[in-house]
Amino acid sequence: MFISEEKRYNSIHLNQSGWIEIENQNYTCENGLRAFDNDFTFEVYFSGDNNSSNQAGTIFSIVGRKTENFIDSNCNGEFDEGEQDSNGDGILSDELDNEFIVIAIQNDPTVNNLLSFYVNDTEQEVLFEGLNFNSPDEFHLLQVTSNGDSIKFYLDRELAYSKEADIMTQESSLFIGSSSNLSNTNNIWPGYIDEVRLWNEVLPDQLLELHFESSGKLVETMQDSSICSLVGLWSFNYLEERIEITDDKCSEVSNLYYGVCDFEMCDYILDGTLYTSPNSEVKFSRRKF
Amino acid sequence: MKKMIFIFLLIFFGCDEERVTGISNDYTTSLDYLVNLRWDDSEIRSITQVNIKWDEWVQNDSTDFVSYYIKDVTTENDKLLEDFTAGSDTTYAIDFGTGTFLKICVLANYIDQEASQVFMSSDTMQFFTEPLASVSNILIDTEPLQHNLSWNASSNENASSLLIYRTYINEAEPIPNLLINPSSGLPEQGITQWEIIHEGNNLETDFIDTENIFSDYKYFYAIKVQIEGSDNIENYRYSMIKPAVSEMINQIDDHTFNLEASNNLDDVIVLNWDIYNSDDFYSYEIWRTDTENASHQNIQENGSKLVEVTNKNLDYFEDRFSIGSGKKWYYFIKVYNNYGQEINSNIIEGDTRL
Repeated sequence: MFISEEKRYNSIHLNQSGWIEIENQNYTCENGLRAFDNDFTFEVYFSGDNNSSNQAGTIFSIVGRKTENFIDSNCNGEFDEGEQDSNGDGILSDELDNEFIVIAIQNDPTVNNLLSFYVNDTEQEVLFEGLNFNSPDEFHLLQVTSNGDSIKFYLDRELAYSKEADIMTQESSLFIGSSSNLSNTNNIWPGYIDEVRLWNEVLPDQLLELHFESSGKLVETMQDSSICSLVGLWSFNYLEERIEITDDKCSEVSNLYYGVCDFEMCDYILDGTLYTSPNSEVKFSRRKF
Repeated sequence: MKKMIFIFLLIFFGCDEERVTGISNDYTTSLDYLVNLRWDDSEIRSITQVNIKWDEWVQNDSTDFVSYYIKDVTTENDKLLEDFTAGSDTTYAIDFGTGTFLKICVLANYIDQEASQVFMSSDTMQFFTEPLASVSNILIDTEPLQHNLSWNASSNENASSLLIYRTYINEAEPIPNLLINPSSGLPEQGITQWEIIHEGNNLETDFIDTENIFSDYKYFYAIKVQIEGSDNIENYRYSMIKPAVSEMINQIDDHTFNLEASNNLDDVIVLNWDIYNSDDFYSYEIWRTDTENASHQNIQENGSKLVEVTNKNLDYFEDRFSIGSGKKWYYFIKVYNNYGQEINSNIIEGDTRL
């Protein structure tokens, strides 16, 4: 009676010890991490934590590239005749770079109110007056939108940074809470990740606002087809601690009005895995946004 | 009462993070072999030797280990220092002169199974030794026909022998300089003649100079300490010049460092500056803090002196002292001339990227 509500966890405390890899799947353009290549909205509910080290923490990252970017108009993952490469010469150049940061956001271990935004390997630092990204008591909502030409970063619904850029994941994984590539994992996030969402469209302001005001809601109504653009949902709302970080969109959609989407969302699951540094562990938490 | 305790426990543990036990899933990297050159921190830092370490070759199905090469790549003319044919050899001690900065490269050579193609992995970084600490705080009490010198001994235990040099000028002559011949470690004897007036050891902290002290002349002293018996000519250190008449000093020439610090490397912050090219150069000091908007004085009081440099021509430094990542550091460099006059650079920000 006193603890009658379901004792689910709400977030994961990465504590500079663990991170989550969501591997790319060979889905269609709209239904995998390749959503990042086109129009998308990416949302992370997070807080920081005290950081006693000199290491910055990464909220999320996509790192590594194989070629120059190109417009994959037929969505087969390859550069085909008639498609456009980024420098427009018609020849797809090898640009193998395991360190290339496609997109990432990190904090600063000593400047509490600073975030660094990385887009296509260029960094922009932004100071946020009155905020503290090294505090476990401040949860924030980060929203990233891209229309293919420009990327906008919002923090708690305020535009924090925008850049004209077209990013491409090139089969890299999405890492939550670390900066990772094939050979290294660095800059593990010290704080909490409450929820992560990936959508394959630029959500309307009304919906972005809803997510800030009511973090538990994905859409306004059970008939709202905006839910069909949800590519991935990692909520950490588990009953038990686990390393399988499941994509919860399928179960969420099944709760909505039957047939609101004209495709089977459960065919395109983007499950993740929790990894930890050697001899360390992470804890799930009931803290939340 | 029992019921109250039960309720208390429910309240106390109901939302307590301590109930969460934690979970782990150790990540096993699939990375290719990287040399990962670094200081061997299991060895105490020395002023005459640098201990380096690198990662052991990782055996795989497609290539076989051949050798490691250790090279000095400070200049364009690479110099092979050592080679190892055992993959398990991962440490090496290199003799350095005191106050020496060298770029060392470790190359791992390996071949494919058909022995048809040679591959290499390499890593390069700057290693250095601190200079020998000079004697300090030289005081001269002038009396008729004698000068009473006292000083603080060099703090380096390695410093064994001590030489007191002296020169003098007539009233109208320019303030003397002290130029050191790098190939001999001895003062250049030109217009200014430096003579040895005492030979002793680093345990001594005073000396009375009574040799030809005339009131018509102005006297200047410098004290050299060195590591006796060392084969390396660089293992010595002169003090700054101390005039018997304290105001007789050379002012330092104007200099702009144009100090720059990198912000786009992932494990090092590289500092570059324009060298102080005047021949009264004594040393550079590089200072660091993580406090934004700190003054030069604040940095010297609360920050860290990273290194002292006695090579006038050195124009870059790789800061790898626990720099972390994505963390801002604030640096300045100062130069001293050999009369202790100094110039500070601007304070600049350095950073690392993800």
